[in-house]
Amino acid sequence: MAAIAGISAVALDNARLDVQAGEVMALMGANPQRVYVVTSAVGGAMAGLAGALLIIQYAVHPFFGAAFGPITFMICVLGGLGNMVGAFVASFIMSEVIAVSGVIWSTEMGYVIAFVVFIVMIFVRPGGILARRG
Amino acid sequence: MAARALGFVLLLGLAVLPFVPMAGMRQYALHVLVQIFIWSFIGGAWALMGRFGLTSLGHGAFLGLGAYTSTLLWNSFGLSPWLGAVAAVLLTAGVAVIVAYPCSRFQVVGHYFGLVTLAVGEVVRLLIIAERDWTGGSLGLTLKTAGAGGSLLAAQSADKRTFYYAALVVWLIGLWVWVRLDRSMARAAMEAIGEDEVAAASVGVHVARFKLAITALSAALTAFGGVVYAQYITYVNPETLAGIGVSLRIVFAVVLGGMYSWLGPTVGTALTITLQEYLRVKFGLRLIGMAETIYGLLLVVFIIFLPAGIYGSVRALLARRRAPAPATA
Repeated sequence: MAAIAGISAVALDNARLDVQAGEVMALMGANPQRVYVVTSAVGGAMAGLAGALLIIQYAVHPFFGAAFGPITFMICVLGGLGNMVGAFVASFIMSEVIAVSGVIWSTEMGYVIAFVVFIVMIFVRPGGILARRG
Repeated sequence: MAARALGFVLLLGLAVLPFVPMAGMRQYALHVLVQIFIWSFIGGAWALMGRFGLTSLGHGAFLGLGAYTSTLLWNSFGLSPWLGAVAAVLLTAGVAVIVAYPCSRFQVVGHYFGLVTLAVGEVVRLLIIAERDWTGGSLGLTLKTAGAGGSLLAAQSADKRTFYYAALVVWLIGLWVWVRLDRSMARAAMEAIGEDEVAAASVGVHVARFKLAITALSAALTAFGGVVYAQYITYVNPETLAGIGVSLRIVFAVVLGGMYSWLGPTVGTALTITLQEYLRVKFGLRLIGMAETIYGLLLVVFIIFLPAGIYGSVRALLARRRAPAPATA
């Protein structure tokens, strides 16, 4: 679960700097292209680290990454893009929802509930769970 | 001139298409063509939404709902797929409205809309797997056969040519819907909504109504495509008909071909399917995974260098060449 938080942190990092790396940035003297390349590299490195950590708990196979794709997106948005603490909280909420309903019901239904929670949350709080109500 | 030549070639191709199976074609080639028609139709249905900025990453949900509805109705109750298709289309359109209504109510657009639809696609896939007692779960479901020779009532046929003509008609219907929409007022309204919702609303465009309508239309056509695919393959599986995998496959093919032009989805789908089949046959069992790797790399290259899609780029090139003519005249 910590690893899931790690993966979400990656995408968050990317997203936050991406937003800032606009035309204004070039005017301020920073090189947007360089920021873009560096953040992508850092993001990739962190995702790689998260993957390496996930091996502790999961088996390795070529389709290993695919299972985490959608849920990682969901966690990032649920936590609020650019909000690291939010992503951490969101990954705990998501993993608890999946784990608890997985025990009570079934693994698939656990994921179904997690996705439904995400859909509802995007309607109710599009800025993420920790965002101030605007 | 070039555009007229292109139009002529297209018309000629269209005129030849019905006679293709009579030339004693191999079953395999016919199978590939049928697949191209069906997936082009589905891609076109996706592009109806995609071209107006409603980037859905969950069309697998509608595809799966359609295919499973008609299949389950036929297998469990013996309801003819002709009626099953109607039920599937209605159900899917209903689901699409249920998803799209809160999206337009809470102004979920852009990336967020993509994520919501992505989640919906996964929900449908997981629900099919979870309800394995009557949907067959991950193992999928085989359509009950109606007899060796096939049957019109069950929309089954042992002859691939039947499905070739059916798929051709379905594909033409898809193109007809596209052209009709392209010429209607709805297109102007949808384009305005795609650019800026608030601005569109301020000039009197009913944003919610148009968005719901286009989503329902796109979902209904996708569901119909799913039914046709299920009838042809006579087997449904949650991995191939629902979820993120197939949703992205549809999106890739259409983006590759170009989603702003009426033939774009067809060009993209034809190219991805033939490429996939060619690489699969070429590499066979020698280098397992190589075909997918090359396919993926080519997709990345095409999408980076041809953002308007292949058909879109070709058309833009022709238009540019034609553009100076009126200036000199």
